[in-house]
Amino acid sequence: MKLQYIFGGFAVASLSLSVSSCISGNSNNELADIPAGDQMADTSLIVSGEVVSDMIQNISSPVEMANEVKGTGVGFSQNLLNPAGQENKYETSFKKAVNLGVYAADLGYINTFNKNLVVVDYLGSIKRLSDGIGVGQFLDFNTLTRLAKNSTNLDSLKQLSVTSFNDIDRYLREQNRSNVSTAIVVGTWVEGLYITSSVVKQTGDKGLIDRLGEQKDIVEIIRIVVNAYSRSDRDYKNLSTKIEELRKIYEGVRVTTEMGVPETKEVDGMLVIVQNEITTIDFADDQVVNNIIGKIAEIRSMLVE
Amino acid sequence: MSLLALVACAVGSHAQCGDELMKQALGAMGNYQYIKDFDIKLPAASSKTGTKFSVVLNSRTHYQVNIANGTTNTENVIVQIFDGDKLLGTNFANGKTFSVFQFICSKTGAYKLNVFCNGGTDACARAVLSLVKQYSEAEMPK
Repeated sequence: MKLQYIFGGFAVASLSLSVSSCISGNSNNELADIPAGDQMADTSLIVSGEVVSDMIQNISSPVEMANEVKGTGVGFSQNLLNPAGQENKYETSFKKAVNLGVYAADLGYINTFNKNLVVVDYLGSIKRLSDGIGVGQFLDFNTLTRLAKNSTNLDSLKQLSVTSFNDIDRYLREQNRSNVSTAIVVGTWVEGLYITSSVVKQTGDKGLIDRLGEQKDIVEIIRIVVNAYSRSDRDYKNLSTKIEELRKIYEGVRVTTEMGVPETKEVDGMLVIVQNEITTIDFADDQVVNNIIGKIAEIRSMLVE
Repeated sequence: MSLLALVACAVGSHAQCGDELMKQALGAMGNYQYIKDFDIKLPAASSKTGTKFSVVLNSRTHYQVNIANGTTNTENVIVQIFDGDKLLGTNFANGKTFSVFQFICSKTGAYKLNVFCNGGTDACARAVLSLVKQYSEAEMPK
């Protein structure tokens, strides 16, 4: 007998409580007191690195997004990506970090389609942005470029690209620079959703539409974290407003999970755990999907401009 | 003398818990697509209660976790996967600890990996999460 329930707000509510209790700040954190320019380095807002890490670690994997898109049969489209070479216009740490995330998603997409000639330009932008926020040492630019130019080593290129970003994320969290790593994660997430939703517009693919709907809880987690940083950072405040608008649109999405009993079985010596639940995504009406796609495009445009 | 001992200890520790473990786990991953790795360090005092990692996993997706244990671990680490408080499974089954397991996820969300070691001594390991396959709704294994 399976139990049907609506997957809802308990987990998210407890996360919200955790963040609230782990934020410290004072009246000096008012936005008006923050000088223009690079605000991220000056912020005195502290969100527990552990809490943030807990909430947003690996929230968006460019590998999974890109594979899902490729699985629809739609071909590679460079027009979907933030063009390489834009890095000079990103001046604040937030802009550099968030667009490092955007380029990470783009790199995942390019790598998945094995467009290694395009990769080199993106690696250059990624290297310069990562140097700009003090994490360039984690990108072995020469090796990545050599792998990109050698078409027999594309698997190594994909792997080294992702491990480099994971190392950056780990380092930033260890250095209590979770606000920077959060910006990278959010950039990757937004760009992944932007590419996904652009393909939905082209194809109407049901699987991808469900992927968009499934982001409901992730949007809530992102909202909580971004909102926490928005009290002391103007870029985060602007983003927070947009994420809140996106969250409201997601009120028109219902995620239902039919619970089951997980199974563990040994298949040809391999231990396999099967969750055995069924998730159903319902949209209040067709306009909800269009509104999500539109709002994601708006947020993405704000981040890359 | 003590400096030499310290250096030797650091080098030894690196070999037991550092990049070699990562290479070992990546090698065992095979042709699947790397997503993320978890650097597991369990001091003796807390090795039995363990450490937790959070990870967002997607519905209709088949994952694999490869675990490489430190050479001085007195026992292999045990990895449990939780959805909230609900234990979905572990790499300890049928009386043995598996160095690899797969997970077929049917709900997008934040999951917890709880990793511990019953040895009661310092332990380390590296776990690599990789993508095996993404299923369509119709393809999902029943």
